[in-house]
Amino acid sequence: MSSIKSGSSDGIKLKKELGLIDGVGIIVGVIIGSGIFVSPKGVLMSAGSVGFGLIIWILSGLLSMIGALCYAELGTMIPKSGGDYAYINESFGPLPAFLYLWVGLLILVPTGNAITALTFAQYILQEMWTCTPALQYGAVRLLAALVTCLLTFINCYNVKWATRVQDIFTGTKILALVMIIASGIYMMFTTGFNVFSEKAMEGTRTEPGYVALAFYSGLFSYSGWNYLNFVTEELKDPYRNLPRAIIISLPLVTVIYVLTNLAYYVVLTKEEVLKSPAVAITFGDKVFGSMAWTIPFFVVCSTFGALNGAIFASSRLFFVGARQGHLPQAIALINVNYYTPVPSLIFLCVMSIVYLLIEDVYILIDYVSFVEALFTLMSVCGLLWLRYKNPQANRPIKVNIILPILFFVICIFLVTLPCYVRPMEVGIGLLIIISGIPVYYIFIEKRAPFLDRIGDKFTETCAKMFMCVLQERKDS
Amino acid sequence: MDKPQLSSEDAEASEKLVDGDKIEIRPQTAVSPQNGDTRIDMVEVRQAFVGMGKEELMKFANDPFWVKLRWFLFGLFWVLWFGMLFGAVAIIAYAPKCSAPAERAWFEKSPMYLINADQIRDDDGNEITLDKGLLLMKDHLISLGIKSILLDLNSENAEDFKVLPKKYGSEESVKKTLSILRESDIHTFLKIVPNHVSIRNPWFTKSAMKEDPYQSYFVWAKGVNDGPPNNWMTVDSVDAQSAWTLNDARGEYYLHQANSTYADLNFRNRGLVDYFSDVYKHWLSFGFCGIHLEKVSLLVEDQNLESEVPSTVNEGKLGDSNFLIHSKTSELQASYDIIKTWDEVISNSSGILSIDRVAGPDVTAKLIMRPLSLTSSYPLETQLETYISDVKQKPHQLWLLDSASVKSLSAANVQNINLLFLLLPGTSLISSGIEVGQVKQPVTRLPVSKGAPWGSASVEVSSKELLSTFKKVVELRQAPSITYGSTEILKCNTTTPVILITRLKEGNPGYLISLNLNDTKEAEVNLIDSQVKGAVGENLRLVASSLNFTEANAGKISPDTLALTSPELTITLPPSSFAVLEFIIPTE
Repeated sequence: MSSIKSGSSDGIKLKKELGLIDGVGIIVGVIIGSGIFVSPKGVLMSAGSVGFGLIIWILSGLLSMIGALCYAELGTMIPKSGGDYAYINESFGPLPAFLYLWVGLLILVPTGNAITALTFAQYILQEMWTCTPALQYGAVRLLAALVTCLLTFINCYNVKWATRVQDIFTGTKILALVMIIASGIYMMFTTGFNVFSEKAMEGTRTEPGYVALAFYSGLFSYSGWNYLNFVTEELKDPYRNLPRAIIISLPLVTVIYVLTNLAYYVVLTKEEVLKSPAVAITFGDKVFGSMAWTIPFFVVCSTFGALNGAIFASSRLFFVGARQGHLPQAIALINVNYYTPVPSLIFLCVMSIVYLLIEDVYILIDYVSFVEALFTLMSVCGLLWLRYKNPQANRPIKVNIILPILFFVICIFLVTLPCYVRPMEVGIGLLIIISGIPVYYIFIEKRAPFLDRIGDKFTETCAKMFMCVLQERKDS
Repeated sequence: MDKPQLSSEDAEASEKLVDGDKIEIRPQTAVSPQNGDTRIDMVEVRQAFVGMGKEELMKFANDPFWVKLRWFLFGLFWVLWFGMLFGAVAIIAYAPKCSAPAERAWFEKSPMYLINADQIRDDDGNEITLDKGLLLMKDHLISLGIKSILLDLNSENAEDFKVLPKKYGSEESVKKTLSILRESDIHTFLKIVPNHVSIRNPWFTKSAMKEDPYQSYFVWAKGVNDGPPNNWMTVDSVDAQSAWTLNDARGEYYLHQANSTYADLNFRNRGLVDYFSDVYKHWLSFGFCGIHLEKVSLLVEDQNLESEVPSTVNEGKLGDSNFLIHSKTSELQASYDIIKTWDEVISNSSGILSIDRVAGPDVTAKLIMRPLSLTSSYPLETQLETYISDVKQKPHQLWLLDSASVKSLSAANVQNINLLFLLLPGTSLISSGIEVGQVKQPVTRLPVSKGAPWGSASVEVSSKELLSTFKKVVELRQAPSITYGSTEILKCNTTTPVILITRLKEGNPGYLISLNLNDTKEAEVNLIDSQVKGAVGENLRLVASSLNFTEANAGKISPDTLALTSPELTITLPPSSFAVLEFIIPTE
């Protein structure tokens, strides 16, 4: 571990290791988690009919695409890692950016990772349930912690490995869904089932409330398209690869989602889909027969990949936040041998494991969607604001102004809808955001000098322990 | 530690960037879009500390202390990791496995449907033979989803327990009917009350004459001080009386725990126990699939005929049956031993033993009926909740509302409670007629001659609604959550008390059963406040309910999908109403 690499004269910073395929792997891998396998029914429940549900899936994909294109503009105009954090910082200054980091740290990232890891563990243990709830609980949490640690280790050790894992597991989950789609299409021809008959629209609900809820579930299923923006600095040729990855990934995900749903409806009735605790498994039991065990296996692979993508991307968020001085400087350290943000990854791992210990971690997910939507709204506001304030800035990708405006409207919808449906969760979400303000003033803006001294000492210790240095300054 | 000199470090760093990464060195001010590097400078909060440079760090790379520490941490990480791995593997390997729940037997799957053979009539009210009646009922039972019936042949009045009374038709025809029912997957239980026989039974007369072997068939005792032998009282009757009546022929008192026209058999007489074993074997070979025994807790009484002591907890008045603790007359271990003997006999003949009202923990039977007896002293809801939480923990549940409670409740509530019982773990005994709301008639007539009983012609619209609700509820018993799931009684703070019960097996849709037993007041239930686990979004769907519930919630339940659309997740429970909602617990 202590050996010095031969090319020790390299400048220490995160290397540009990610190509186009890796970029697609991250976006697709993070968007497609376990949702499409387990509970693709939020849309159906609100849309009321199979046909209208499919339309919602298509439209949600298109709307997400618009959002992603806006982020392509932001990502190429502000080619920094950290995604929303960097864009909000650039547009509105450090306090709002810090608040994003704050909620990211407190809820978004560790909750997301903990739940993905738990889903992974639950599906591994699917066939091995014990009858003792306490032991079962323990086994699930232990496995979830194990997979988090393992992926953190891989991400610390080698960026190449991490991206390889990402590519393989994204490939696996696409393969699984293609399998489901193919068998759905096969069943459609053999049984003569016609999804496009008039019956498909039976029960459609056109009341605005239901349509809104359907879109809400639909858009939520596509969330994760902004994850590549977290790692912009590590993309090779980001001006080309970031937009390309986005333009490839989202239509791909949309097509897969729509066709998978179609396959489900060919085999299962609307009621069966709504009743099923895990739709893909019910589907597999009906179609794959003795091969039905493959579905839980694919869910395991899919969550594994999604977790890897999330760890990879979100560690960069904290890294950038620390580099900016919004988190302890130690988190901004980079390992000199592996060129990975080891302290940030370890910090993230510890946070995720702490959240695994919270019994009611699933409740936290209720706050995630609103808070996430709020900051996405802020980022797209930033885009519009920068267009106005800084019209001459170089924008390698400049989308038609209609797109960000349209996406702005969608975000407003995503932010206001929960205010009516779940005012309680919105209130708590806002409280968590606001709680970051005093933290910002005490620990960042008006920080006492002794905190600096402690921080420096800590940074030094971490540096020696993990063989890390800070990224070299670029501005001197 | 000395801080590195900024200038020299940075000069070096920018040099290294050139060959380190295969990217053009970027100009600081001009921006070229092809360049992938950071263009916009960061806002520096603090310039003071930039940490060590790589060169300086390398001095520590080989420092033994740090090398050891690093190796230690590296080792510790993997030790912990493998430790957790082994922990997880150990839990999975050694924890008791959840075997798939045992498939329910036929008598647990279906509710038991009570048919009193005396009450089968044709549409004009004329008696009809048992075989014809049963055959005509077959399709009705199948349409209800009922697979198990309890036939009451009024054995208490029989002269011989082994002989089918003449009025029910020929043995051959009934035998044939049973096998036809069996072909349609309908199993028949025979109800027998072994505890007593009518005093008109020849046994009693012979026993009174002290004829052998009959003389010890009954519990005889000499009077004490011109009165009965002790203070035992009759059970079941509204105004209890002495359980002893003087028989002039024998000059002794005979025991009758029911009324004086039924004399209690003496089961301390082994011969009688064996006789009944033969009776059960006989009927099982006749074509019955099970034997349902009633009043078995009263089989044996205290040998020394000791008086019972007054109860300190029961509120019965002097002269009431409740006034005494029946420790000498009911639930004696000797009774349990007899039941055990009979259970073995019946099991050996591939039959099922079902018994009623036994409190003892070590009673062997495949079904144990523990009826709900309501009193007027406590709120209905409290009694029902206490009853359910008590009985649900006991094995082999056979739920039933006792006849006194049926009398005291409104017809709608009898119906509602019976529907609830159908959805509890185990099975329940339902009286014929309840599916169309005929619960209060003293004698339930089963009109069977024109097609199915209660066919379209003879039933009002409201009864048809009841019938369809009843069918849905019976069908719902197939759901894994109802068959195997947990039963939880939820607390709810409504002004009018209601009963909320959830049935849930993980990974399956759960069911919320709600009842308002108040006959006049309606209740508004907020499902979120009541902490119904699945009360999220539109995950709730109405599956079955009383007619008034559907009417009261017209605006809250979507007519086509039956989903609960009320955004506050409230339901209205009108007076005497029942509803089952299906919910799905979101997996994410």
